Amino acid sequence: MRDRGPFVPRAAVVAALRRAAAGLAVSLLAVTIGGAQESGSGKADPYRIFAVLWRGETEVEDGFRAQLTQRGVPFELTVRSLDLDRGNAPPIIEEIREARPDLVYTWGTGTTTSIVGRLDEDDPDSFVRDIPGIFVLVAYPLEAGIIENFARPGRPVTGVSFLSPVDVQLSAIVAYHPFKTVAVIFDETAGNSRINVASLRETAPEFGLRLLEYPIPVGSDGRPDPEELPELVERAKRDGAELLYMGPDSFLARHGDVFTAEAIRNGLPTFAATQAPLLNSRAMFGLVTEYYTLGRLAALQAERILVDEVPPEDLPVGRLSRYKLWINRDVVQEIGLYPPLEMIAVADFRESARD
Amino acid sequence: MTMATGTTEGREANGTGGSGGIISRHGAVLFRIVALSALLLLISQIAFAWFSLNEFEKVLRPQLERKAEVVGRAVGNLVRYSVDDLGFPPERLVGVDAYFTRIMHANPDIDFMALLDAGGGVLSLDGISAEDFTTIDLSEAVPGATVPSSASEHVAAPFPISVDGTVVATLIVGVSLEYVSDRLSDIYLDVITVIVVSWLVTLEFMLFFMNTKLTTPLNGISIALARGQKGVFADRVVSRARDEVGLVTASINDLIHALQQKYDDFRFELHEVRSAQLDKAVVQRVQAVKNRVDARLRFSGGEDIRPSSSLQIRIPLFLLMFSEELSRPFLPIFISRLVPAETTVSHEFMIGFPITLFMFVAAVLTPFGGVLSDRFGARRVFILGAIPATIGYFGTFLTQGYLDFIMWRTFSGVGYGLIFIAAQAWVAENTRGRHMAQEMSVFVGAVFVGMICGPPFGGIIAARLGYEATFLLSAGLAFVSGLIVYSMLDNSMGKRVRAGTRLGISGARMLLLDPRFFAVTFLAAVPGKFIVTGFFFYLLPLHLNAVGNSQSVIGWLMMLYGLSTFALLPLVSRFADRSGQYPVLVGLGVGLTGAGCLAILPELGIPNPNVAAAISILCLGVGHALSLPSQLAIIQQAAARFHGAVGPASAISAYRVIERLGLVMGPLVAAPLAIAFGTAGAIVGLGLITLAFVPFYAFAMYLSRNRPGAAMGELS
Amino acid sequence: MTIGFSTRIAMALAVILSVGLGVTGILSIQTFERTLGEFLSTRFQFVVDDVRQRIETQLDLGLELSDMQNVPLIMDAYLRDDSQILTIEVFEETGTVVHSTDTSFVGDVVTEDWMQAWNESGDRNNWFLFQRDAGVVGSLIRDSFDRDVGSVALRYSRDYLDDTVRVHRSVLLGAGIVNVVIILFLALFGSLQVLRRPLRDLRDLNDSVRRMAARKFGADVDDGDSRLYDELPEYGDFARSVQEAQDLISEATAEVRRIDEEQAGRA
Repeated sequence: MRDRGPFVPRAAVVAALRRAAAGLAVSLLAVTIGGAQESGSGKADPYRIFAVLWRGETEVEDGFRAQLTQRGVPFELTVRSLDLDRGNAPPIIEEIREARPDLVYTWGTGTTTSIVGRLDEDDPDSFVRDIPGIFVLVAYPLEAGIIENFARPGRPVTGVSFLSPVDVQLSAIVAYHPFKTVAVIFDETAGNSRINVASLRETAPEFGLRLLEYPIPVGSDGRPDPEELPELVERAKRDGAELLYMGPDSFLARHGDVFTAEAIRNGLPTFAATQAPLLNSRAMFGLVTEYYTLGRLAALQAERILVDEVPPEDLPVGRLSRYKLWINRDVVQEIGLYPPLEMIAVADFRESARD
Repeated sequence: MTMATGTTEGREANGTGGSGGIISRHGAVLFRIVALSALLLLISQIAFAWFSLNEFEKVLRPQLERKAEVVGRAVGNLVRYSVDDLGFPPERLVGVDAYFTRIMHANPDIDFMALLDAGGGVLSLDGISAEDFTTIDLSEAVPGATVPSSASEHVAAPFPISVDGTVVATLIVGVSLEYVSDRLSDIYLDVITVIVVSWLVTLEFMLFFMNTKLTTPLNGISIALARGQKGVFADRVVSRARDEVGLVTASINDLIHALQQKYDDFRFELHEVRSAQLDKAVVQRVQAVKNRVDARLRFSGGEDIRPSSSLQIRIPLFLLMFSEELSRPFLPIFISRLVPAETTVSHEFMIGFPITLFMFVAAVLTPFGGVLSDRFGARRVFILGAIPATIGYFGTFLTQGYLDFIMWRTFSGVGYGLIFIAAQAWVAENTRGRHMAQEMSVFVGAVFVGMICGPPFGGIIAARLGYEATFLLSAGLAFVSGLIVYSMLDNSMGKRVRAGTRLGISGARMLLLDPRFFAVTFLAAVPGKFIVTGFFFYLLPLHLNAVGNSQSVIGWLMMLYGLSTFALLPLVSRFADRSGQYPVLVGLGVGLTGAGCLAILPELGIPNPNVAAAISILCLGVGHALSLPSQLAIIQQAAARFHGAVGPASAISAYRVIERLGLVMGPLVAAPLAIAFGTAGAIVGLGLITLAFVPFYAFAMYLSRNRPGAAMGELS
Repeated sequence: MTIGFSTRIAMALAVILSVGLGVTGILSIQTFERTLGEFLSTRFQFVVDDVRQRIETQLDLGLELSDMQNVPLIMDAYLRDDSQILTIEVFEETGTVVHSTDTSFVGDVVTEDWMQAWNESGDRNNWFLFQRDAGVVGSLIRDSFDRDVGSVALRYSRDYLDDTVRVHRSVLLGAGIVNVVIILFLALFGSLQVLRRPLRDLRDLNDSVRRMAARKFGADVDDGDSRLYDELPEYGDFARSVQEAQDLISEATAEVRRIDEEQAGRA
């Protein structure tokens, strides 16, 4: 320390000693509180958490585990996966009923509705309804009928919201560039997409944006046809779209490679509201929640339920105050539409998943 | 036996024209000394202030440059990150202006920012025009260090951004040296205030000093000389002076004493001769010699000549006015902090009440103080008043809550009322037959100088040291004021100069039934005064505080009232006397006073609330300057019409009593308005009420004009 | 003892001037101290805000406060650039220091007054503390769950501020004293000039009066006296009246003596 010496050597030594003493006191205090907590809850055993996933473990679970460990919450996590099929739910429900864990953790809208069911379910017996639940990665828990409202879920199930609100997304879009026309190409058969587009339609004019909607035509099997995507992108371009918007649309996420490649070919930037198109394909930028962070937020909720014993029906759905601005640098270079300096200062720049 | 003599400015002025020396020509000496003092003081104060601000700028400037470096390096790093790490071409960077704007908004000390390409072409620029930017010579700039611009007061620091050793862009961060002076500028106002106040204090003090030490003792000498010319060598000039004038005085006393001695020797010899003689004729001859001497000269039955002057009261009165005016810019704010949270009466009324009470106490004491002055002399009443005034201010300094605050203010009010009257009585005692109005300018002068100096100085003290400290200063000043009177002024025993100021019931009836007297007092003086306490004393400080002013600024704005009135008063008086349009000027003045309050209205679109307030204050000052001398003139005219039934002095004192009614009423009218419409609304309301008096006043004046016997300009 | 007019005037002026300059000086130095303090803390505030922003960006990316490898590098760079900065530290919500430019502080707990200043900052983004030996500027770190998770704190030397203010206080005091002394002389000299004639008149007058008191019967007036009579007509009249009186009394005395002698001779 170059500056310290000539200035206040004695004061510095005294301050260091004082800090050391205070540190000792605080660590003693921490031990005492820790002990009190253990005995206060009357639980020497770890909390048992039962996690049901959709397609195997993600970074969300990493964050969840890390946060609980960091906070010193003892836990035991049992993990099961539906492997992309709702049909796998009943045996897992049976297992949960037998194990009687302290908390059930569900990943995604499908898993959550399969395990804990909707609010208005006719057949409550076929779901886990008497164990506190916590959901992650549910885009629209309200519309999906999982909770009554965000502030008070109204049943012993709460969770964390992972989508940034539409207005926050749109402000990020106009902050990047003064776009005037935004096109959304979406899977009309999926509830999440319909809800998302409806709220876009409502909010876009507030930001002076014109919204072009392109539902993906359905093939003979009643499912959207991926072959139509290049044609839709070109049409959007012809209609004057300046940006393509990718919402929480699992169809589009699955065909992200084709879609984003086509967008780049047409010189159209893409905005993504979820992480997948940015991480797995070549969307240009997005306002997303890091899965790891989301897991930590879920762990905070779990701690409230398990340690603080807050009834989940009274625990508001957790929400982030800031989201991650993710920009794929190489896509920016290819499109040639650079972010403003203000965004450069706060954005997380990555390279897209190029093959 | 004591004799007091009066000195007037008029006499001094006349003296300058004569061919005489120091004895009669001291007016010119006085003027030169005062001018010399004022000049020296001004030069030294300005030099000192300039020196200190210059020193400060020398230190602050490098700090500003350091800040520019820190900001420049941070922003430069971001640009380098964009260009080098991300590979975005510098000329394609967007939103740089917006980013600069945000940085400059968060850091007001940064004056401008620019991003240049490799060739020095401007990519982005904010905070400065492109033309001004070209005047800044960056050719010799060292990276990260500021260079002064050749043309302007900017300094700029370049931060080159290089990729692989090649400079691809340069960030320029500029700071304005004006920022330093701007940041120091809030001291300018304070320094100017201190200069003005000490300037005025010097003027006052020098006037007092020269008057006490030169003019007045010379007057004593002058009287002794005049009596000596007539062969009267009986008097003794009383002087405390230990200077050149004192020596002369002592010599003259010695000379007179020597003459008296000589006469006594003569008388002794004569007595010896006479008593030794039996011859009647011889005795008669001797007696004839004595008679011859006695016919020509007189050595006995003399007086002590105690020279005194009406001017001598100026500095003590000024000090007391100054001490009362110190709290002017914050008194209602101070009271509002003392008002208990739970009150049965409204908060607004609780704030206004002490102001009203103070005025009421002072008004009630006016006749009482007059009687005391007649009885014991002005000097003693002044000292008597300085005691409660000092106690009151000191108590306010220690005040704990609303109730004891009221008590201390009552003390101050008693002191203020007594001193006000005592000072007037002193002037009257030392005037003796000369023109009263001219003499009263001594009195009015001290009051206004106090009103000019007090608020800005009090504002500074309050802003820096707190409200309580200001009251402590007031206590000190009131004490010094009393001390000066005690130690430097000689007691001139009360003479019945106030004879004729008693107003009988019939006189009062006559006055009140006189439409012109009624119109001037109730329809012009009362609204003119209640706006002083209601608006100026009560609402204005609250309003100026609410719009976010510091105490210094409030005090400074409030100084404008005393300043404008003081500056215009002599001019307007002369104009009024020449034109004789007294009633019109009174109406104009009251109208202007009321109209000025409307400047506060936001609908008028005066963007700066302080400008609006300044307009209101100036209107008040100018309005009073217009109407006050003319009001007095009309009162005197009215009195004159009664042909001796009511003296002008008693008419004026009746007018003063009614006028005080206005002062007492001000906060009582303002408080309900403030409850209903808020502070700013109440100011406008008071203005409207005042304006409403004008047509009634005009109508009353118009009616009385057509009455027989009410001749216009009778006295003018 | 007599003190001359000029001295009195010069002294009075010096007193008023000293008070005036004193007030100006106190106000100036106070404003200076405040402004300099603000100039310093605004720079340090920029530094802590920059560090905080980088930390928050990384928090959004899911990094732990204690895991951020580049934060100490940024802080060290700032410390190197600015000799007035004593330390820059980052502490967690428990008060435990996780990064510091002085690595020996890492793991310590910050003092109670820091924690208090941090906790009391409420919705504001910065906190300030003036301690005896150092000033502290802090910037609140909020994570993406909108929780206050810690703070960046920068300690800067007060020595510079205090020394500068002290130096300027004595400079101003010196300047004020020099100023007063100069004015004292100028006032003395100036009032001597202005009062030269009046004072000479007064002295002459005094001499003249004294001479007159000692005057013998029938003696002529002095040359200086006759000049004074012309210049001060009031005095001239008085003096003539005094001379008349002296002469008259002398004559009368003489006459009485003559009568007495006459009678004595007759007897």
